Amino acid sequence: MSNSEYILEMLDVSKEFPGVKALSDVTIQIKKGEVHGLVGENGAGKSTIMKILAGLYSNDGGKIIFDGEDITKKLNARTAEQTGISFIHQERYVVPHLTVAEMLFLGVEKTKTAFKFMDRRGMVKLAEQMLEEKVGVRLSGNMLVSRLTVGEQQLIQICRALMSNPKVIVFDEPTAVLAKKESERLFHIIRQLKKDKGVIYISHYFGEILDLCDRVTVLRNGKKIDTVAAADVTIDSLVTMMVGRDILEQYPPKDRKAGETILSVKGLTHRKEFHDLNFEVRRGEIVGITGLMGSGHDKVGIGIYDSHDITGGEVEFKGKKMSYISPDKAAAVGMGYVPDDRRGLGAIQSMTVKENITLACLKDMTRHGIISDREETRAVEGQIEKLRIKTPNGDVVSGNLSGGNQQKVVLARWLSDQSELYILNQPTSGIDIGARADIYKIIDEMAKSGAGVLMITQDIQELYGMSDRIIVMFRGEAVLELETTEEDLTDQIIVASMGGGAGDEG
Amino acid sequence: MKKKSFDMGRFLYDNTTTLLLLAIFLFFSVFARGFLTIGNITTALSSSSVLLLISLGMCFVVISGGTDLSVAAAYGLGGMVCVLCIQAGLSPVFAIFLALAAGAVFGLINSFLILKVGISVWLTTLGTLFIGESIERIVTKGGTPIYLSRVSGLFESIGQGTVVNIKQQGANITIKSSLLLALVLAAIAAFVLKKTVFGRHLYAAGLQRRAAELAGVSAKRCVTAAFVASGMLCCLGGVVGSSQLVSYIPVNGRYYLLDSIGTVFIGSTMHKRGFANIGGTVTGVLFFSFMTNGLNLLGVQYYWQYVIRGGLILVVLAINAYQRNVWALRTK
Repeated sequence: MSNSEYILEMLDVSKEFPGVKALSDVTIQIKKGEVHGLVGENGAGKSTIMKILAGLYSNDGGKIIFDGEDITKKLNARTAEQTGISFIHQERYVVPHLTVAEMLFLGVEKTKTAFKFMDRRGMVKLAEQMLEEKVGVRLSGNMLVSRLTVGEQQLIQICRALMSNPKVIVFDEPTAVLAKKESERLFHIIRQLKKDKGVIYISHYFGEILDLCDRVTVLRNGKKIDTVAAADVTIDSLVTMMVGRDILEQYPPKDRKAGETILSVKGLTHRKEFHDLNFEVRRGEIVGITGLMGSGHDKVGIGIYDSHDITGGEVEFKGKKMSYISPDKAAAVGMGYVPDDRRGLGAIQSMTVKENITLACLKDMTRHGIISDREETRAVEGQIEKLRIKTPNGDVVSGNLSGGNQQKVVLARWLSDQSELYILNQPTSGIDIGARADIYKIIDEMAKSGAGVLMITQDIQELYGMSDRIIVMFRGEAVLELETTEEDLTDQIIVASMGGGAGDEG
Repeated sequence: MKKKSFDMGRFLYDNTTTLLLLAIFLFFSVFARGFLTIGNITTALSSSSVLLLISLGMCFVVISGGTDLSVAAAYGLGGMVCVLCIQAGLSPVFAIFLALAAGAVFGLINSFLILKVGISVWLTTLGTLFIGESIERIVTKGGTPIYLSRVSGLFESIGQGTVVNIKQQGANITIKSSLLLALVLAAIAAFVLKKTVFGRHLYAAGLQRRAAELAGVSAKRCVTAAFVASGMLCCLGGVVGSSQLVSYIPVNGRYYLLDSIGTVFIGSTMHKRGFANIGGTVTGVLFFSFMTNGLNLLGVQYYWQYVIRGGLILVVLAINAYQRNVWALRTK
């Protein structure tokens, strides 16, 4: 066969949904022994083509050739795995109350005797052995899955996938939920895996892509832009290929001026996530908080906005000491909180864009207690235009928007309420790069309008690019506070977040 | 913008429930002798005031994100308090006031158990339903009805009074004041839900409680208000009911419990996004009233009526679910 160099070929694959051409003639060829990166904005067609490969969608045109055999017709949700294609999803499909061994063999339990009793002891032993062999980790087979870290749970999934001995493995944004160390371990495993397999690697993180992949395919609007060798491209050129325009100035210039203190936190202590936090946020300033998973940094924002889990310390807002704070009270005095889980906690999915945007400021749009339709619509149209929310009008159900646009809706909610302190929890996680730049601009304008911004993020680049001041947390404590300068201090931040203080280095 | 063309499928989808109601109406008009007379229609309408009141209460709770099983007990409670007070010689106005106050307290107890103690809505209202009905039995010593020898004043007019009463050429057109009362309250409820901050916040709290809270909505206050509204509306229903019967019949609310759930959910199929709403609930009540009336005129046995009614509810919901799927695919 002429094309034996490729283990998997998707040739001229097309897929049409009513009204939308999701994929047009996309060709992706995976070589044996390579890690093949797949990048594209949300909606570019990455997940569609992967769903075709998984047999969840059928393609309208094109062929899929696996190991020299045309499997286009054969592919369905049940056969994909048997054929030799495995998927590691971003969401972890784990059952928390099972043990490691039970999870690993779920559905393929080892049995003994004619009555098919589960061979528990054998499974535990085999599980431990397989985990060490396949993914190089020592875990007790009797441990509950819920007690593992996210990374370890993922390893179990990878191990599960490897048990069927696949020839192609697809990783769909595997590092989105991982701490840095865990990511590195994962990369190590992927490099081992690629020796005799093809690996497809989907990610929003270009650093990872260039580091890990041999070749990269870029999709945009359902079309393939190009497949390039990772060695030949830079992050900038990849981004340009992906969005079709330059986003060189991703972060707005820092020409903000800090004013008076708007938020002052003294000795704030959480039931279990963090203790004795002290910091201030001034008007016109963006303060970034970061840390690794489990450092408690992600609970600081909600701790200021809702005292439910706070056990000590005080919060002073606009010069006034706040006693017990509930979200409705916080919103009433001028705080706005943007949660990390934007579908579950941010935009109310089945309410319209309009209803979501005005949820916090609806009182200002009433006359004698009656909502003024005209005022509401006008305010919402203004926000849709200003924030470039991609929706035909305000009456579209928010759940139909992409993640980035939903995030804009939540931001618009607080902008309409003219909040004076914006608390943003992971404002851009999982959002594609185009919408991301828009959101950075919005955040910058928030600060410029004289509000304080507290931004919680795990993305170091974003943290450094956006913040005026940075607080790094480690195990529930603030271990480093620094002002950002022209000089790149990201290394110092990473070291601090891993528990290496500036003092005890070396 | 493209010019909008008429889309038959879309039209049917948006109006399933209304069309079905019309179909039933037409069916009875043709086959049930005496159905399509002004006298009969007004009678059917007037008999639906109690169900409408209870359905309004149910609608508030459904919007807040739950189902109020205790409407049956609240209905009984309202009638019981009112009738006992009148028997004890209190003025009807004061008796009705106490009945409504009892409804408010009942709603507060429900919301306390749900919000502060943290019991699920379903189990809380199931519990208060059992307790409420047991109290009705205890007070009436095992469930013997309390008959009033006379009714007067406001208590009489709230259930029996008429606003229109025309007798002409054998036709007897009466519109009861209770129907007017229920319709006025429905209009107020619709307005509050559509046009006030509270209404919007109640929907938000019912759809995604924590997300609403984080947006600054006092979700707990909204839910409490919904249960208080439900308690009061159901107690008012109880007052109207016992006025109509000139007596208090214990544990009689069960009859309305399932009907009110039915009307609210049939009503929610009329909403574009499937939200419970007042207009739909009123339509649901009409649907049930005409069903009962028409089937009675056709001489269908009482038990079979429930089979037909249940079947039709399932038909409405099935058509709705089917079309929802079809449209989800088409508009994807």
